[in-house]
Amino acid sequence: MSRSCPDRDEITGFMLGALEPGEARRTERHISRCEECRAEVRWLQPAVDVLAESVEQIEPPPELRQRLLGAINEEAEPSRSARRPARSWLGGFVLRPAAGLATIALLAAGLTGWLLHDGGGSPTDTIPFPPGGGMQASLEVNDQSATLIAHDMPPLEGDAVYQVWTAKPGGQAAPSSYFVPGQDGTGAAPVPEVLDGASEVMVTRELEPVRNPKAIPRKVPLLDLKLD
Amino acid sequence: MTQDELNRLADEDLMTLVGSKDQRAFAVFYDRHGGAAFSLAYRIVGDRQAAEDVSQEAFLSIWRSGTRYDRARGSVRAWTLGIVRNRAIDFLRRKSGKAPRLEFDDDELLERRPSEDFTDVEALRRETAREVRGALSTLPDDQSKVIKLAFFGGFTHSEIAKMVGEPLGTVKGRMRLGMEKIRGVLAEGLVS
Repeated sequence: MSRSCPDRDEITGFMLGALEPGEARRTERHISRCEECRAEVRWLQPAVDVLAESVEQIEPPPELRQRLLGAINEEAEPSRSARRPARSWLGGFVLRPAAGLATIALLAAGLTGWLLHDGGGSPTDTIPFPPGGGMQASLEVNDQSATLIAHDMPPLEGDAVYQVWTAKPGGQAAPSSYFVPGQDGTGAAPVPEVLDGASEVMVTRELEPVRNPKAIPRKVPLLDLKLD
Repeated sequence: MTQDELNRLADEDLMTLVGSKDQRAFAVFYDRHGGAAFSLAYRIVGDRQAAEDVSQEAFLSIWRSGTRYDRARGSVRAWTLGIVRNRAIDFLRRKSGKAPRLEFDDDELLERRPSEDFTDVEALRRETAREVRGALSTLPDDQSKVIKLAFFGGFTHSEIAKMVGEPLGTVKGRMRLGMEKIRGVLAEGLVS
């Protein structure tokens, strides 16, 4: 290392984030053009990396996975998420909040708040699906989002997914989002069509996600929720 | 690609798919690293809800910019945990005055994780982590303390010097010596 190089104390501090912002910027600039210092960084990097691994390992709550996958699913389909109507649509439903599902309702409210960055959190209603084959699901709905949350879903093989379908009153069913449950059998998927007036939400098991927007379900739904 | 094939992909190849917005690849990526990310976030912010928020922010940022992963920047695991750490430290700084948690004994709960998590790679990571915990525990307290204050607390050299009541140069030296010792333990592990 040359005289102009930061000493090892500084490089270690840089790698642990212990330098003041100005110092850190100067050190970073220097390292970017000094091979000797880069070699020092490369040598020490494994020690920094394993610090992050050295902490007590705790299981994240399953809801975190659900929220995350629900959010990316929604982000992956911006055309759908852009079609958010005003809040008056809720008036037409018979809402049956399920006892004991407060945690899930909070989860859906949290997802909505996060998705919209509004920090608010409008009231969320839980509409349970009729039970089907041991599977349980509910639709978590507020004025800005609708999310299907499923439990006890049998595991899938290969590229198979649980495909969500929606239908408007008197209309044909069309594919919505899909989900793959985690090891604990839970899964979540946004169902924005509910905000557009869909009156039925169904779930089928498919060998792969349905890509054709004109496709219709060819199997009896595993889960079927009719919204009054 | 089948789910089994996805599950068998190396992290680096998985990130290529995540970069092209493959949701199933992202789910596998989360399943591999979500636990470590959440654990690190919790260690830094000291609160489960905040740890969830930090982890979620970090993974969403990766989803939105997955193509930015560069193999030259180290392993996917280290890159991911680096993002989580930055987010968690930012969270702490937004909540000014938040003290880091330094009193945890990390070893016990590690052994309680479900056995299905034990893939070969995961087992190797745990072994490495165990070695590091061992190395950390054998460091003199004054060295391990300044390292923890910097890495898990987000404090600078000067802040740490004030906190521990030692000269700035002493703090810098302890930090370096401690990290070099950890690095030495890792090197010994590789050799053996």
